[in-house]
Parts: sequence; C-alpha cells; structure tokens
Amino acid sequence: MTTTAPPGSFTAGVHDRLSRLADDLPELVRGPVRTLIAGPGKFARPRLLAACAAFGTPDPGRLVRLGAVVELAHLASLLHDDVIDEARTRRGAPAAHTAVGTEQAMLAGLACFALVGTEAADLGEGVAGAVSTAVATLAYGELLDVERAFDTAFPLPAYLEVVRCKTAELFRLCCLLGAAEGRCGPGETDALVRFGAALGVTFQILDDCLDLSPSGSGKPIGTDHALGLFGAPTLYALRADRGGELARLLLSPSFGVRDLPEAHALIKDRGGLEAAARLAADWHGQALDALRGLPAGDPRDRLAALTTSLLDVPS
Amino acid sequence: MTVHLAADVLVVGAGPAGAIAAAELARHGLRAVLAGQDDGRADHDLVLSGAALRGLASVGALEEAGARVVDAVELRLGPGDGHVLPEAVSAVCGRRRLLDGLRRTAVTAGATWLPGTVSDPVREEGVWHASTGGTTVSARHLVLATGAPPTGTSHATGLLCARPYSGVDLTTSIVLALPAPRTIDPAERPTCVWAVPGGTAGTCTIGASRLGPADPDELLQTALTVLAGGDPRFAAAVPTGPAVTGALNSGFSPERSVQDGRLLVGDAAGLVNPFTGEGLSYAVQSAVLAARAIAGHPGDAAAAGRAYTRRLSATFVGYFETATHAARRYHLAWRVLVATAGDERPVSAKVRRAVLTPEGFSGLTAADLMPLPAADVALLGPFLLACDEVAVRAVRAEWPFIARLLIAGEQAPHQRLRPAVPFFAALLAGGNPPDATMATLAAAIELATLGALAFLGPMPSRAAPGRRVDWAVASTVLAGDFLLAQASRLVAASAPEVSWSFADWLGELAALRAARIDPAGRSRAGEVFAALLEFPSRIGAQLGGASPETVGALRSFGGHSGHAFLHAEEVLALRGERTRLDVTLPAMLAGRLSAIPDDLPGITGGLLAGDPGARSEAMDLAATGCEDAHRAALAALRNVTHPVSARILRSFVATLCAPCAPPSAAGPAGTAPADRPDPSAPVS
Repeated sequence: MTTTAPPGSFTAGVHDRLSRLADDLPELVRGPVRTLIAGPGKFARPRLLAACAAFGTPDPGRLVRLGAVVELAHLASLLHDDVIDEARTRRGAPAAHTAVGTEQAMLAGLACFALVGTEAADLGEGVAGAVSTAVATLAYGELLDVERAFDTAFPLPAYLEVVRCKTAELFRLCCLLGAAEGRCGPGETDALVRFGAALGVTFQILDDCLDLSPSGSGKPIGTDHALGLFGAPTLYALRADRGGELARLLLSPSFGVRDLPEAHALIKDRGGLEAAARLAADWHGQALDALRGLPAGDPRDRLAALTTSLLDVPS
Repeated sequence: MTVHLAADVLVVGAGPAGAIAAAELARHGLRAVLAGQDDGRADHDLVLSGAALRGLASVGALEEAGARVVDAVELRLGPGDGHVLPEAVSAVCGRRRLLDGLRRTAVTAGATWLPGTVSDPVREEGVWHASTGGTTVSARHLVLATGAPPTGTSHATGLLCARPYSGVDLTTSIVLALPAPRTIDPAERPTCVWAVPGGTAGTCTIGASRLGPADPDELLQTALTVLAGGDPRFAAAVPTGPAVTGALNSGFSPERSVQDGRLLVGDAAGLVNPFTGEGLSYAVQSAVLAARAIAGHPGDAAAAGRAYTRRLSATFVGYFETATHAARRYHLAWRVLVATAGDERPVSAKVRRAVLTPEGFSGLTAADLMPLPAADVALLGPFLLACDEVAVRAVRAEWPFIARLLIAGEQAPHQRLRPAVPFFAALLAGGNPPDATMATLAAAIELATLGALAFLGPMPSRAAPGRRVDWAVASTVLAGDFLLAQASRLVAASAPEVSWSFADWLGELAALRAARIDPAGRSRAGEVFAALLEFPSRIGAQLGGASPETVGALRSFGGHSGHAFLHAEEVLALRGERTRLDVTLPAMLAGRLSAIPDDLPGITGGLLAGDPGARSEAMDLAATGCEDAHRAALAALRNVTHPVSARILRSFVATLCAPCAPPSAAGPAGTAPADRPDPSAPVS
C-alpha cells in the first residue's frame, strides 16, 4: 500500500516540494512566495486532497505534487487578497506588499498562479483542466467579495455564492483531484466533491464567526468587519436590525477594533451568532451526509477526523 | 371613411429610432409606415457621439440633423480636474431639428409618415394590424420604437432630465461629469451629469441621469451644483426653458429585444448607457440593425427576429445582462471609474472609454486598420469573429464591462492590430488552413493580453488611508486575475497541450516586469512587449505544424514586433497623440514602460516637455528603434515561405510601425510637436 505513510511525512513532502518550486522562480518574484511558504501553514488543503486520495491507491510522488499545487493556488490568492485588502500581516509576518511593495507583490502572486498552471499541466490534462476551472471560479469569488464591501443589505444567497466561489471551490478541487488521483469511481468521486464543497462552506461560516471574538487561534480579529466584509452572523443580525443601529455602527468611518465588543453585543442580541451557527450546522450536516455515502472503513474514518480538526481550528 | 394601407413593416414610435428604422427599411425597397404621436417635449440640445454620427451618415440623415461638431469631450470623474477624452468625436444638435430631419429623411426615402396615436397592434395570421386616425395599417413586420417603458426591471430603471440654460460660457466642448460617491455604502446611486453647448452663444443644455428612484428637480439641482463646483463657466447659469423628464431604462438584453414577433429598438429595448443616460447612438445603431434584419428576411418575420437578436448580441455587450449582480457590478464600475479618474495607466484609460463612450475601445489598439487583400480578409475575418465570440462569451455574464472592452462599437475587427492576427498567420505558416477550434485559443490569448496589461502597466498609486476599498488597486488585481484565469480555463479546455506553455508565458511576463521595475534591474523596456507578441507567434507556428526554422523565424518576428510596438507608442506619446494603449508620456516614464530613459538616463516628462532638444533626441531614438525593429521583423519573415502568412504579418508590423513612418504632408506628424496641445492636460 502506498497510503500508509504517516501524515507528517506527507505535509513535510508538500512543504519540501513547495520550497523547491519557489526556488525555481525568477529571483525578483521569489522572495514573497518563499516567505509565505516558510510561515506557519496548516496544509489543510493538501491534507484534504490526500485524505480523499486514500479512498484509492494514489502514487505518493504525484500526491505530494498535487498537494503542492493546491497549496500554491491558495498562497497565490493570499498574495493578491493582501494587496487588495492592504493587510499588514500574513501568517505572523509582514504581508508581502508591505515588504516588497504593491507591484512586486502583485507580480509575485501572478508568478505563483503561473507556477500553479505549469505544475498542473505537468501533472496531466485532467489536472490542468480542473485546476484552471477552480482558479477561474476563485477569481470570480474575489470580485464578488470586493464589490460587496460595506453592503449591509447583502442577501444571504449572495453571501453563500461568495463563500462557494472564494473558499469552498478550492476545498472542492482538493477532493476532486484526490478522488481522481485515487482513481475513485464516479459514485465515490461525486460524494467526495459534494463533501468538499459543503466542508468549505462550513469552514468559511465558522471562520466568519471568529472575526467577532478572540478564538485563541492567534488570528487578528475584526479585520473583515473593518474591511466591510460582513459574514453570516453579521448579515443575519442586519436583517433583524430594525432601528438601523448595527448598520450605522458598521458603516461608521471610524469603526475599528475597539468597536468590536459593541458590534458583537448587537449581533448577538439580534440572533446573528445563533443563526450563523445553525447555518454552519446545516452545511456541516450536508458534508457528513456526503461522507456517509462513502464506503465505511479506515479512509472514511480518517477523513471524518480531518473534518473535525479542520472545523475546530480554522486557519 | 377609413383608408387602408398595406405595408411590409409598421414602425410604431416616431422618435429617432423609429424614423431611422423607417428610413433604412425604405432604402431597402420595403414599404414602411412610420406611425406615432409626437411626444411634444420641449426642445433641448443633445449629444451625437461618433457612433451616432456614423449611423446617421449610413442612412443619409447627417445633413438633416443639423449637427454642430464640438472639439472635445471633457470628462470630470470625481472631485479632480477634468480631462479631455482624446479623440472622442462628438457633435451636438437640437432635438427638435433632429427629429424633424429624421422624419423628413424617412419620407424622402419612401416611407409613409402617419402622425397620431396608434392603436395597440394586433397580429392575425401572421399580419399585424393597427390604426391611427382614419388609417388602418397592415404589415408582416412590426418594429416598436416607443421609447423607454415607464416601468421596467428595478435594477435598470431610473430618471433622465434635461433643461436649457443661458449665461454659460460653453462653446466648443461637451462636459461629462460623474461625481464621487459621498459614502462607502454601496446602496448609494451615482448621478451622471452632462452639459452641451447650445445653438446660440451663451446657451447650453444641462442634463442628468440616475438609476433608481429620483426626483427631477433634485436631479437638475445636483447637476448644476456639480458643474458649477470649481468651474466658473457655469457659475451664472439660469434656466431658460422648462425641464424635460423621461424614464431611463437600461435593461437591455438581446433576447428580450424581440417580443412575440415585435422588434424593439432604441430606448424601448433598454439600449441606454446606464452611466451617461446616452441612448441616441444605440437608437441609431439598433434601428439600422432591425431594418437590415427585416430586409434580409422580408417574407419571414420569425427569421428577421432571430437575425436581429443575433446582430444585437454581436454589437451590444457590456451592460446589465443578468439582473442578479447588476446593481453591485454597476456600483463597482462607478467606484472604479472615479477612483481611477486621474489615472493615465493603459487599463484605466481603456476602461473609461469603454464604459462611458458608445465607441468603446478595441483591444490593444487605436483605430489603425491593416490594409489586406480581400482574399486574406475573407480568410482572417471569420476566424477573428469566432475569436471575439468566444472571448465575449467567457466574460459577458460575470463581468459585462470587460466584454465592452472586447467588441464595443467595433469597426472592421478583422483588420485591427490585435494579438490574434499574428497567431492566425503563424498557424497558417505550416501550410494548413487553421482549424476553427483554434479561435478559442486565440480568444484566450487576447483575454490574457488584456489581463497581462492590468499587471504589467504601471501601478495606480494607493488611495488615501481610511475606511474604504482601494478601488484603483483592487480593480487592477481583480481584472487581471479574472481575465488570466478565464484565459487559462479556455486553454485547458480547447488546447490542453498548450496549457504548460501558456502558464509558463504568464510566469515569464511576471518575471520580466518584476525585473523591469526593480531599481537595480537591467531589463530592457521592450522585453515585456516582445514576450507579449512572441507567444502568439510561437504557439501558432507550433500548432500549425510549421518547421523548426519557421517556428524560430516567427518567434523572432513576434519579439521584434513587440519592440516595434513599444517604440511606436513612444513616438505617438512624444507627439502628444493618442497611443494604442491610451497612455501618456509621463505615465509611460513613471511606469517604467518606456525605453527612452534606458538610452537617455535622467530623462523626465518635464524635461521632454520643456526642452525641444531633448524631445527631438528622444523622438529620433524612438523612431530609429521602431525602424530597426521593423526591419528585423521583416528579415525574420524571409524564413516564412507561406505567402498569405507572410503577407498578413508584413501588413501587421507595417501598420504597427505606421506612426514612425516619415511625416507626410497630410499626416499629423506634419505639425511641429511643440505646437500641439497635450490632450492629457487638465482642462478646467
């Protein structure tokens, strides 16, 4: 069996592969990519891919390369997101654009996306097709997410569309590539892909809840609210915000981290956290349903365990 | 006694769109009846864009319109100074004079004009029946030009106002203003304001439009406040006539423009620019399209309807095609336009032109057309049309304004300078006629070139700190990522064997640009452009099965063409003319796009503007660089034996280098550069 390698060695392999790929980048775009790779990543996406591939008998070498491709796609979009959001830090280090300037950071992101393309093409036409489709959806999600900034009337279905495109699509891709690499049958592939999409949505809803209160994950809080990117709890609360108090606070030009406790109280008071938790539970349920459609056994148990750990500590 | 009139086409609505449709139908020998009541609106002046002027000329109505040409369109986006929109051909005319003229044109062409209220047309056994006054009309075809419906889809409905004023010193230009948003709230709706000079000195018409609910008095008051703010020409404006108010409906979609056999044209079809409220050019164009669709199928109304829908889809893209995202996409476009107002980067300038003017913009180029023999055009034309179709389909639903960048107002798309041309010619070089599926790859190359320009041009400066989205930077990244991702998707789907090379090309572009902007970098300015054109030539040659020698020759041709392109940009910019990328000389220098500082270290925009010696030295440098690159490209073509391929490529590079050709008596180069006004200079 080729899937018996301990998970530690798989992520180490992905990390190693990423470092090699980054080393081959032209000198001037290499720095920001290397810094990101060196940062504390949890490799959620490669691990998900590997866990899905474990339903079959994947080639370990290809598995590592595929893991590096999905992680690299994630890093590329982080580089560009940070340029758009003007984030100060990323993974505990100064964000690339603050270190090397906006244009170099943008070009590093472009080089990173290009690297995703060459690696995916090297891994086969099927991989190139799946990856390019997912990256196109990701780019559209990026657009949806920026254009809705400060929209206090953003409808829930539109929010779910953003989440599906911007977050869940990459989870979905991991499951699709994993299933393909494990040579799963159409039934299993379908279940894995549905599982990945639902897991991604759940992941993002829970992540949005964390923007309101310290989680112990070390992630700075209030960032999304300051940017006008209101997540599920806030959007639910805004629907119940009859007096407009919450909307006024959220649109205030001076809104900042010190206003978070008040926002948190208003959102909680309007039932936002509760409603978001229900929504997350619903999507989590969909993920588990899809999981139950897979054959019982070790791979399924490990995928379930990975799900629990991913949803406990969003990265 | 009732008179009966048997016609081929009944046109209901006697505004500009209806009159032009009737005129064009009559010109095709069809019996057309133009029926409708005069709207009795007070007279005011309106804008005739270049597209409207061309449309009027094509139906022979230009004389009748009494158009007065204006020198410039002044664009004021947000709070900054205005800029002249380079080469925006425009004229103004009185609405009443235009209407009377167009109806006369229709009658002169042979149409019957029946003023008065028209009964609702009813179709029986394939024939429409309606009556007006004492006349009944029957016709196989029905064209509705009844103006904007008072109610429509909420996302695309609004209000349009205009009013004549005096005491205004506006004589030679049109002013178009889009004020900055007041809040960060995306629910805020933009007001677009315009002013056009009147027929007599000191008069003008001021207009405004807004999507969403609006009050006419408030709208006109806003218009005056916006115009008078910082512009003394409007300080003493007083109204001289009543305000004219109308519904604004920009909910166009090709499919909704044919309803149960009725062909909707102009405002009735929702063909109005949602930003400017401008609808006349679309009215003219759609009326002509409807008339020609009917003329092509005089005996078959259903076929005429299908032909009309097809022609509309190919002509008008870029507005609210899907209601779901319309309001947010509109808000995005407004914020981006205002945020990039002072921005002379290629992409910003192109977006402004595409979104705000009916002419739109064409890919990498300005108006230059490649001279080609008819046989070559017949070969290239269908391929490029298919390419445009794929490119537009890839972006139109998700990012409609980008679709406008691809084909809006396009004339002779098959003769434009665009990357798909060397790609096509290189495909041909192997000796086989290009496979039609290669048009998808051509579309991917064009989308990628547009996306690459977002990343490879100079960066916009960061917006002032505060709680806001930095729209200029954000839109650059979003547009670039979106276009490159769509392009990669098309490549993987249509030519997976090219996926690796395509991604490698994007990586190469990123690296070249990164090297160019690096302070310690020694990278030549032209290398990015060389890589942009080398790829289509190389990949085309490989896919077309050309010999290794030919592939090498075409790679070299593409690279030299890229260098030639950059030098031609420099020549145009030095002359103060509009460049293909719509970029000014200072922006080229600041963005490290230009090769001039490589050979004249320390050169700045100010130095070039103030020192004729430095300017002439720079001009020599750019022109020589262009000629050298042209020569090298032609030399490379000696190894391309396929005659059509070589001919197309020779024409391509010659047109690319045309700005550097020795000045001719008639050419703009005949004027001394120093005497030419800088079209990018602030106007107010």
